[in-house]
Amino acid sequence: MSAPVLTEEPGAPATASPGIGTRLLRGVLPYVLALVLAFVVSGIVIVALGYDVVGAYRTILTTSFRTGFGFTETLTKWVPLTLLALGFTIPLAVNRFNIGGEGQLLVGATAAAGVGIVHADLPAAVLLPLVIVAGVLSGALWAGIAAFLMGRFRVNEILSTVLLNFVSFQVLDYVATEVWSDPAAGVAATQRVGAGALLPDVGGPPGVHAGILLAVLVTLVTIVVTRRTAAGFELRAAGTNPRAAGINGIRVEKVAVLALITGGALGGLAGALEVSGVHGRALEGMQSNFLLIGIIVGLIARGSALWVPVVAFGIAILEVGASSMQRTVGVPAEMVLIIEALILIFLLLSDVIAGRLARRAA
Amino acid sequence: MSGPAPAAPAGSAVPGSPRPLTMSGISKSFGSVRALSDADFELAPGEVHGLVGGNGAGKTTLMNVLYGLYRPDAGEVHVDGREVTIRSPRDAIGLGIGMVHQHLLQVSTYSVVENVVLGTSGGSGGLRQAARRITELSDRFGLAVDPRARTDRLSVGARQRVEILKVLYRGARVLILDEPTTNLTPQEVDALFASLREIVAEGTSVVFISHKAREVLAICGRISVMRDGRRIATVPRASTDATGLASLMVGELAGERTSEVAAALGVGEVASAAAAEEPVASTPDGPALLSVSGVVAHNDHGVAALHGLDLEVWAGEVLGVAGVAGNGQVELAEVLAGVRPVRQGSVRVGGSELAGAPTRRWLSAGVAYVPEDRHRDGILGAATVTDNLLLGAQRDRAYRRGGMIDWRRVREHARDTIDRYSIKTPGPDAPAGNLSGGNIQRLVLARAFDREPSVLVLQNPTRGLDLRSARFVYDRVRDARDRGCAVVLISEDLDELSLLADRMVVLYSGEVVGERRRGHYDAYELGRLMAGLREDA
Repeated sequence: MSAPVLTEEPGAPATASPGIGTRLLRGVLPYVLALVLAFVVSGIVIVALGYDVVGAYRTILTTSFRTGFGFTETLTKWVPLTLLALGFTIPLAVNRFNIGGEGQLLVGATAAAGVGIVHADLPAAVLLPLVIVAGVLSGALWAGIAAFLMGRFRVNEILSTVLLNFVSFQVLDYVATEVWSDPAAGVAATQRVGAGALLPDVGGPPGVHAGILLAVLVTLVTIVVTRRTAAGFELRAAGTNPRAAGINGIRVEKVAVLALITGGALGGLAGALEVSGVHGRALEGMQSNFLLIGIIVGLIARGSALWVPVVAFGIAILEVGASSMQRTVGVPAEMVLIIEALILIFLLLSDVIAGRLARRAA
Repeated sequence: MSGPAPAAPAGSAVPGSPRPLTMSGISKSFGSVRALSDADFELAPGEVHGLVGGNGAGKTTLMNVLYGLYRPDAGEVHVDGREVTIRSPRDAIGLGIGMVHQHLLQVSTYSVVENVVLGTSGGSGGLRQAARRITELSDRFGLAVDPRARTDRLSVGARQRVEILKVLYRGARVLILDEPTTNLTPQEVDALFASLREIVAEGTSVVFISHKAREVLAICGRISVMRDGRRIATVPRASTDATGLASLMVGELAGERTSEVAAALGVGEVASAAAAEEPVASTPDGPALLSVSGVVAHNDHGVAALHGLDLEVWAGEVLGVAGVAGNGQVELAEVLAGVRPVRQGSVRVGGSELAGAPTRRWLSAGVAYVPEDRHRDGILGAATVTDNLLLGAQRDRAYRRGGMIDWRRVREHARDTIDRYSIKTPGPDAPAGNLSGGNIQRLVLARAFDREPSVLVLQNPTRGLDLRSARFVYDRVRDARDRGCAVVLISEDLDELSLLADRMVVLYSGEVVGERRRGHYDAYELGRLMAGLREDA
């Protein structure tokens, strides 16, 4: 059906622009509502399960700030969450879904650990950059498989990235049990990397591994590139309207391939930082549920590189609070995942409702 | 142009019986824009009722309200004297109201019968019974179509007949046709009108939406004129003429170039009027600026749509490409814009070969493209006007500073462009998709001209535009030609082509089947070429 031609005159102003206060309210309101509703509904579930809801929520929200360790742990979680969320949102800007973050993280971690083990004797000034570059490159390469299949044969990138996750489990498993295995670890884990591959702490005590600085830098670069450079402009254009972008000389498929590879590089970086900053090795299960939560972060931030770090911080608070809640109040930590999912669902719902209201008001 | 035979206006109101349809006090706003304000409309049994007005006058919106596609903010609809609320097309169909849209909504892989019964309960007897009824209806009303043919194999004219049959099959007593002649050859228009006369003779009423005064005068018994979202007059055919109708539609005609008004409103002898206004261009000499030879290109389904096409366009010339939609126009436009791969043959601009080169190379060779579907191909709807004006030039040195886009410079340029092209927008940061069709086209043209093109390719550049915006496009096309641009104007509007083209070729089935120079344009002769009748036939 043809879109209605709204104006006779070449364009009466389409909509009167509302005041900045109204705009801010309209922007923030859905978030506040979604948060409140998510906590209310989860509260009902917690009560129904027979737990102390006030205690549970107090623990969730305050753990990160009561102790230095809580805060350190929050920042430590913030790093992979932010990186995986950006790894998801960058391809998302061209309408491609990178669901392979955990595979990219694991492969990146495996490569980083490998370099850290093989060249364990090198000094930190040489080894640390090598370890991180190895992680980034192998993450990019891993996503590059899916990107190549997508660009060359139009293989759906959702399928290929998800399936590559399963392959990555086997890669890590093989390396951790056959190549550089550490039988004493109790789980499938590699040997420890050399001392030169470990990131020093900053701040504290207790400090946070210096990888956080790198994550902050990467976030800033992502923001600047997407907003200020021709590459970022082309990324947005290709995502907003691929046909119009193509007609105006942008090679949409190439942009998408590069975006997916970039996403993989960020996943690989997250893996390398987990090895160098947290575990000192690659081990089974190190991907935690960073991918899932990273996607939630990216979606709650609505794909904006500016909001991803902020949302990731909020989610990291919940995540850290969750394990503490399980210890103190007995509510299963998974409850927090329910809260996060509900925030996202209510946010999406409020979009629909706000759209309806705007249409009715109009 | 001799125009359709002036047959007696079809259908006249039968006095006494209840009105099949009255609408009153209908208002509808989209955002802060009032599309309809207190509009009314009344239909008599067995009449063809013309609904005319410039673009944005509210014709289609009013009928979309009637068909249940929009809910009115206020107003009443009565069918056969009973007040009704129409919430959806299903309600409308239940009340005997059917609509054929400008863009045909069909499942292209279904057969005609399947498309016709789609959405009905099917009835007893299945498809064979349905096919028999369709054949009967098509015989009765002269709507020739094979019920078993696959829809995507049919011409646009035939697909439109399918839509009309679909409405009749469901027993509609009110048939709404939205700009039904847009994609038809003059001959097909005549056939459509003959069918409409048969249809109203059996008591069905027809609403004929158009902005072409000439067609409305040829078929309608009464004509309602809309302007600014309300009906401003209803006149019987007998008491008006093209000029009278045109002045009702536009408001006043003072100061407008008559041939342009005529082209935009379709009121008569455009070709001769245009020819009288402008001298025939002299035959160009020297090598052509744009030369296309032996080009083969595929459509979106991988089937050859251009079969060894040759074209030459000289600098300072407007080449018109006429033809019925679906004969390779889209493919030709996209080949010339460097968007669609050239399977065979060559496209040279100023001597350098561009076939096979990426789109960016075509752009830097000076090719600018104004696509047919502005919303889909022309703009980033969700992005700002500024972004859209930058699109394609984002890597230009003029807009770079320290490896980044110099947004201050870009904004300055955008504001300046908005001024120069009179783009009506709430601001440079407003989403381009919210602009009206005319302003989107201004934006697209502004961007095209920013590149100082040497080859300009336009497809149906005034479709859906109001008179003022259409004039703006015409002026820009002439500017481009005068500046030495080679212009290719691909259009389904013979009036528009007659007005602008120095030379016209007819595209049929992916080949050029005829060429005429300015001064030798005859609508019926061109119509025969467009229908695929070779010159020697």
